[in-house]
Amino acid sequence: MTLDELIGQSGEWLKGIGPESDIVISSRVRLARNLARFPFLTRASDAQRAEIHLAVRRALDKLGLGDNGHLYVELEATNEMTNRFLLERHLISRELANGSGDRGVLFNRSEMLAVMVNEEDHLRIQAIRAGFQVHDAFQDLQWLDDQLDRELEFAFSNEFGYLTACPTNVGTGMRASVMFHLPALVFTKQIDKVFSSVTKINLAVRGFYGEGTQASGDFYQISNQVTLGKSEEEILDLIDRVVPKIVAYERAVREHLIDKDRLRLEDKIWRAFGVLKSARSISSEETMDLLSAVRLGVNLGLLADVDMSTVNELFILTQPAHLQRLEKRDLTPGERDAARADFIRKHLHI
Amino acid sequence: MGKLCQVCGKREAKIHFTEIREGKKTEMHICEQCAHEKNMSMAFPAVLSQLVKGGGPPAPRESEAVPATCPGCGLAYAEFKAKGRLGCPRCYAAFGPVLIPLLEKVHGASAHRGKTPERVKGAMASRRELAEIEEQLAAAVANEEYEKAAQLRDRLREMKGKES
Repeated sequence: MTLDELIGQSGEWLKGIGPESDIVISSRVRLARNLARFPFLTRASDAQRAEIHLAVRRALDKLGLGDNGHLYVELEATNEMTNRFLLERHLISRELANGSGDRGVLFNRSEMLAVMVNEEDHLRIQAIRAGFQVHDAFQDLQWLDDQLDRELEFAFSNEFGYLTACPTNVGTGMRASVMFHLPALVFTKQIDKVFSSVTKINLAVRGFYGEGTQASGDFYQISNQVTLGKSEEEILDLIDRVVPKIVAYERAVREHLIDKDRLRLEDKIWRAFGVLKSARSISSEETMDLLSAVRLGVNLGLLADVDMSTVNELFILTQPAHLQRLEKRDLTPGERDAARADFIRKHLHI
Repeated sequence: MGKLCQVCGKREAKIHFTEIREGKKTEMHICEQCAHEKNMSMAFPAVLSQLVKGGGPPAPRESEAVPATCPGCGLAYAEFKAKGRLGCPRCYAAFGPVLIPLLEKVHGASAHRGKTPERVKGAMASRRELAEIEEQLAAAVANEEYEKAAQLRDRLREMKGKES
C-alpha cells in the first residue's frame, strides 16, 4: 500500500453509509496510551523518543491491523504537503503534522484504524466508523489496545487509570467524538442553543478538523470532556443519549424549513449546485459552504441525481494538499482555485 | 485483608510504624502508595505526628507535602503548573496531593473506574491469591496444622517462583 493509492478516493467512513448518515458523518474513538518504562514526550530525550518510536513500530509490525494492507508513514521523512494531506484526511492531528522529531502514523487501507506515534502521548489509537456507530468504533479498538499493552506495557495505575501527559486525558484516556452535519440549525441560527446545552453536560464542541478549528461546511464534532471517574461504557452512553437529540432537532428544523420556507431553502440549494457545476475558480471556504447546501439538498431528495458519497468525498478531496497531490506539483493559490473548480465540475457532472 | 490504611482508608496497610515518644506509644498503619506519596520513609516521625494529630490526611500544603521535583523524571512542580503537562508516569504519584484536587476540578472525580489492562488484572489476581495463601498459612501454623502448613508453603514457593 502506498500514499499515492489514496489520491482520488476517500476513507470508508466517508461513504455516506451507516446509521443516521444524513446528519451524522462519522463516529470516532481515540485512546491515549504511554509506555510505562519511558518518560512522557515533554521529558523524553531525542534518543528516548527514537527508542519509543522503534518499540511501537516493532509492536505494530508484529500485530498489523488485521486488514488487507496498511501503511506506516514516518513524518520526520515527509514534506509539509504530505503531512497536510494526511491531516486533511483526518488520519493525523495538527499537533502531529506540525510537530518535530521521530513520529509517525500507521493506518489501514479502509482508513478506519490509525495509530499516531509520538504525538502528545506515545500512542494515540483511533477507530472511525461511518454514521452513528460510536460503540462499534470503541469495539474496533479493543483487540489492538490489548495486544499493544501486552507488547509494550502501558503506563497504568489502579488509582488513576491510564496515565497521560496531560491530566485532562488521564483515566480511560478515551475521547469519543461524533461529527454532525447541521446545515438547517446553522441556517435558522439555532445552533448556539445546541452548543450551550451540550457544553452544560460536559461535552465539547469542535470544528471540522478538531480542537481549535473553525466550523466549516456546517460540520461540528461533539466529544466527551471527562475521561476519569467514568467507565468507557458510561462515557459512550452519554454520547449515545445526546446524539439522537441533536439528530432529531436538525431533522425537525429541516422539516420546518420545507414546510414554511421552502422557496428560500430550495433557492439556496439550487444556487449552490449551480455555482459548483459552473465555477472556473473557487476558494476552499466557498466550496465548503456550497457543498454543505448541496449535501442538504441530496438528503432532502431535491438533488436526486447526486450521489451522497460523492458529496462527502468532495469535502476532503478539494482541500489544498489533496489537489496538489493530484496535480503532482505545488500550486499557487490561484492555480489551486482553478484546479478545485475543475475537479468539482468533473465530479458533479451528470 | 489486614488493617486498612489510616491515610486513604481504602487500601490494605502494608507499612506499620510504632512511635514511642515521652513514654506514649502511637501506632500507624499505612499503605505503600500513601507512604510513597507522603514521603513517609524520609520524614516519618513528623509526618506521623501530623497525621495522628490531624486525625486524617494532612491538607496538601504545596511547600511541604509535595516534592518540588518528580523523583522519576526530575520535572519541577512549578514547570507542570506553567505548562500543564506531566513528565512521566511517576509524576502522578509524586504530585498526587496537589494533582487530586485538580483532577476533581477537571473531571469531577479523581479515581479511575474504567478499563484495567488484562496484564494488570492478572497480576492483581495473583497478588490477591498470594495474600490469601499467606493468611491460610499463618492460621495453619497458629493451629499447629503442620501438614497443611507445609503444603501451603510449597504452594507459595511455587507461585513466587513463577512470578520472578
